[in-house]
Amino acid sequence: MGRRRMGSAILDVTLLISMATAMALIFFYAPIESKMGIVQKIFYVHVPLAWNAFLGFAIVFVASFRYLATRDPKWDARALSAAEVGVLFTTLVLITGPIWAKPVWGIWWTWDARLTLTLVLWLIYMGYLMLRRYVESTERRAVLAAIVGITGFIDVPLVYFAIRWWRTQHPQPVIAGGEGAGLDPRMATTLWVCVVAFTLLFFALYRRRVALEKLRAEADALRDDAEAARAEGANI
Amino acid sequence: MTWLLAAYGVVTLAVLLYRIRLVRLRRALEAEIHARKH
Repeated sequence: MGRRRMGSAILDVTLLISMATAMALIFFYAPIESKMGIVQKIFYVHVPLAWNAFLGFAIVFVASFRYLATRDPKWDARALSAAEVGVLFTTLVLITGPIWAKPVWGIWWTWDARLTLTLVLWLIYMGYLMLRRYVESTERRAVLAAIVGITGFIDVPLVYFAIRWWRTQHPQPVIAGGEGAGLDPRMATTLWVCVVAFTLLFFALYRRRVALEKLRAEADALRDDAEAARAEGANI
Repeated sequence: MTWLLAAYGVVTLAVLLYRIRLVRLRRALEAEIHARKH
């Protein structure tokens, strides 16, 4: 077994164990919140998904800078992979949020700062992925995507701080929220285990997506070689 | 409970579908590479 495959296998096993632990803690250890009831347990997937989406866009930001500095395609592949998993996680944040909001607030959606900026974040990185499909030239596509990947990251701190800077319908922060904020210790333990599990899930998907880009590059090179050989044959 | 299961169900389904998509794309690319090399 190669080192890469060994790494993937270890990551998968750790992911499975941590996910099983997280689910056990959510359903059998974390207390039921007094006001919202059991629906509050959506929190344990909603929050880790959001934090890992931010992590994904932070990777896009760093990898895009590295690409512009080095023009090494591996950084472009890493940025693309992180953006795709980040968009998946943001999509799930935007789905689990309304499923939680409906029974608690009585509405699916409201245009408050946190929710609107999260939707904008999703649109920015959907735009990033769409842009990559519409630009033909590989290098031009990578440069344009890197610019969007860097500038789009501005929205991440805005989403994070929205509930601190503006009055929002979205709940105030319970982690690093200052005085009066805080979680029941059993809820906090469950949340951190979920954060670890979802971070492992993020990297398991990210690693596979990066590996896919390597295969795509190899297939593209072989296709180019075949076309060059055909053109050479036609010239003779 | 229904809302909770709906949320967890959507997350599980989405991750599974994305994982299946990655496997399908990988297999297609590996088949193309194999065909071009041999």
